[in-house]
Amino acid sequence: MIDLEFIKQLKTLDLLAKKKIMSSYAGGQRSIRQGRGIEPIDHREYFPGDDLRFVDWKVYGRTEKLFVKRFEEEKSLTTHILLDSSNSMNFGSGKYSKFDYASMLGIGFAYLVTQENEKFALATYNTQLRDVLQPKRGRGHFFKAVDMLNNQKLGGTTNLDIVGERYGNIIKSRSLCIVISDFLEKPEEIRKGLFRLAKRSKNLLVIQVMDPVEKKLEWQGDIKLHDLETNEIKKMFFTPSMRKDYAVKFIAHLEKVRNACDSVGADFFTTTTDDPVFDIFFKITHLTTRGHMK
Amino acid sequence: MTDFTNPGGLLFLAVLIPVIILYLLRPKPKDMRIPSLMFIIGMEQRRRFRSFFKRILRDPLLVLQLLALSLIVLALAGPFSLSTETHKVTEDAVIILDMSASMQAGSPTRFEQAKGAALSVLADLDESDKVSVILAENIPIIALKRGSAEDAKSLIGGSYPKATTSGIGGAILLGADLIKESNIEKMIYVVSDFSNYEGSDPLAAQKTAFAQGIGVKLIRVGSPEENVAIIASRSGRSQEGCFMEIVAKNYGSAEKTVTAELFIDSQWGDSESKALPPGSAGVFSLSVKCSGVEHEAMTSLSVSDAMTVDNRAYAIIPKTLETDVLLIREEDSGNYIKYALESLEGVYVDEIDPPVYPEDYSSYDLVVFQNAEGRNILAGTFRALEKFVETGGDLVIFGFEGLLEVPASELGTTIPVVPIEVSNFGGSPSKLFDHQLLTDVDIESVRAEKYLYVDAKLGSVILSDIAGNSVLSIAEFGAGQIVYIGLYPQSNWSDFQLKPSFPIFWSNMVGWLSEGRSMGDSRNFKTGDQMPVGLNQTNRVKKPSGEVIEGANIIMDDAGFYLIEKNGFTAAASLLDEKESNVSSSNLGESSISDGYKSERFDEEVKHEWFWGLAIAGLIVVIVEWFYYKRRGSL
Repeated sequence: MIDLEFIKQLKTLDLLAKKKIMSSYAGGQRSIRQGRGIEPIDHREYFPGDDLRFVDWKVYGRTEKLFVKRFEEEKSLTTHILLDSSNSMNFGSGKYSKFDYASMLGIGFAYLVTQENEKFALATYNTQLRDVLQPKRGRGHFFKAVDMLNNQKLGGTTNLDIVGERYGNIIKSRSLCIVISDFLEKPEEIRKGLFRLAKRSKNLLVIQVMDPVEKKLEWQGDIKLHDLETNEIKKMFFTPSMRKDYAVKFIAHLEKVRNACDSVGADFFTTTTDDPVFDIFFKITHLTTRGHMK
Repeated sequence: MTDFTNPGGLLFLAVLIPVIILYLLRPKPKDMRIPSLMFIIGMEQRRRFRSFFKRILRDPLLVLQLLALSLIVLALAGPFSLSTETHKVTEDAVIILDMSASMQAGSPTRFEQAKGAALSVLADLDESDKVSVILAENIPIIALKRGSAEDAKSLIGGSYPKATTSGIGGAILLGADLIKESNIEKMIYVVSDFSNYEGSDPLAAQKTAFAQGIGVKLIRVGSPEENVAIIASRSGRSQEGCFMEIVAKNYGSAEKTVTAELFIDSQWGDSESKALPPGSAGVFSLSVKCSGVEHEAMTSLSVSDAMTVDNRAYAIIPKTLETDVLLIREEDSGNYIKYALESLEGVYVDEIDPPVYPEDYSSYDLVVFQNAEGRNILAGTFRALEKFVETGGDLVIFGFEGLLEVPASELGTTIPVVPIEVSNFGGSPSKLFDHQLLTDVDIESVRAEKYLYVDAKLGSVILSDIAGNSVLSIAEFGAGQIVYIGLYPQSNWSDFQLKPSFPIFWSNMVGWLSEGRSMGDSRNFKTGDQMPVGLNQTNRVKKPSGEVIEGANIIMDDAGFYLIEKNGFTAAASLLDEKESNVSSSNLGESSISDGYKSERFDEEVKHEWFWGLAIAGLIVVIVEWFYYKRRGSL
């Protein structure tokens, strides 16, 4: 649940991360993303101090005059925020469920975009798109997003492949796409979905939200497990060796998700619901400053 | 079939019921929510065998506990099963091995076959059996007394046959005596060719053993063989020198040409060949010139037959005997006899001139009483000569005229004839017997003008006479011999002394008389005989095989020459056994022989208790359960 208290705290975020995060995707600073999905749209006359890398030497060859390329990122950037609202996101062992935490993250990004007077879109999904707020700017749009998330009913399983295809059609121009999920689905579906999103948005930020309990199952003995995603029930005797096996599989799955992100050029972050929400923004800020996003 | 010693213990299986109930009543599992089972399902799919196992048994731990309890309860119930096992009867066994000469026949020899049979008997015995071994020589020998089969194998493997007969019956009786007190199964195994034996009848001995509760199995080896053997031998010195006369017999079914060869001190001397029809014997006389020293003589048959030990006869030809002769004659008597005697090798002649007579004739081997006048024959003279002859001396007495003056009672037994009177007519002697004394002596060419008419005494043998009147008689008296010569060596009596064969006659005389004193026969033995080699002490004797043994009496069980180391005397032993050399048949009936020699077996019901097996299995299950608990983190 996103409450007023959290919204007040967003001001802190404003101070910490605003320009740093957004500008890294806006291209105002030197970025490793140069040449990757960033297209020059016109030229302007060269002024001393401009980066010589952006001089269009072909034009100079023709005209013997220096012109620099002007890139799309110098124009406005729409931010698309996708939140996983499947049943698995309803899991929480602490103060927040995964969806609550993801919602706070999503609203945080929405806040930053709104402060820049840029547009943002917000959508929830499971095996398909559920609620979608079309790209708009302004405070009214922001609070609509808050309401939407607060009233969101979780359910179903997840299929990012289908969602990616469908939402990709919504993305009209180069934009920043942020996907927040627990990514508890088949790695191949994740990869395909991210690929579709990355192809349309050119900038993709992936944040995985986990609960600390599901990272390390500290159970033992006779248990009856309820799968939140599929409602399947399984009775078993959970042993230390099974715990180890689970941890290995879990980490292996994380790696696959990470590899899927790398393969599509997306930035990948993972967090747990017991981490302070703003820390993730700090992480993103920290890594973008170093020019390395992982 | 399985049964239980304590079937009541099975009631403790009821303890399984509360275990099952406790398992069923155990607390319900905790309800846990998990975002996704995707990792757990994947984990479960790898353990498909557990899924399968769980479909049948929901919890392996319950199964382990039930299994452990069941095993322990079953163990306490004392289950057992019965089975029938076949055991060999423990034996006190005696193996009797025939060591006789006939076991050397054949190829492989019967003895090799016997060893194989004995080892087969031993192979059927084990450590619990007691084994004794008796070697059946002519005197049975206990070689191993209640030892192990291994000891017996070593002993039998190193044994070899002798050149003697065997006392199988005696060996069986000895073996029976050895084990009769035993309280386990008693068995005697006799391995032999059963071709010959001496002493007790083996079948009678077998019955005696049966009566004592001792089993006797007769195991025969060998098959009928063709053989030629020397079965008799005689040796000594003759005019020709050293001689050996043998009798060889052909036991085969076809005629065999046999060559006998004489070797003196390993040098070939003489040979003779004869064809011997099947089943017949032939005499071979062999001789060769030899010196007067002692010689080792051997006659060997060159023939292809079943065994070689009886193809040789060995003999010691003693050195020429020295003969000490006392010649009693009147001083003016002719020297013909003296010269004839002195010409002989080893003959030493003393003379006395009656009426001087020695008090004791024992230092002489031969007394030749050529002549004495009646008045010079003293009373007791002939009594002394009689005593001399009785104790082994030899006497040659001529028919001289002075004898007519000696009363018959005085003459006694010193003369094999009774002198009557001097003949009125002369004549030439006739040879009545082809005696050794007359070998190469042409006595019939002698002309006797005068001789004594005599009556022959009972027991004397007339070798030559003139018109029925003995002129050459021989007789034995006591240990000695007496020869009467009626051809007095004086020209007006006879011309015998002038004949060329006169010295030959005296050579024959000395040779024939000295045979009785010959040492040769006392050093020529048959195998199996005992040879005394020391009085109250032992002496070392080298056997023909080279083996040196020590004893006071040596059993001559090998054929060949024996050397007594202390004094250098040699002795010879030969098989010379007609029965032992007959290897063409068995001496025992077929029905007496056993087929096979497997030890007896008996069936025994054996109880196999399962307590320890089940208890250990239960313990193992408990340990597995402990590991299972530990693995799933409950400990």
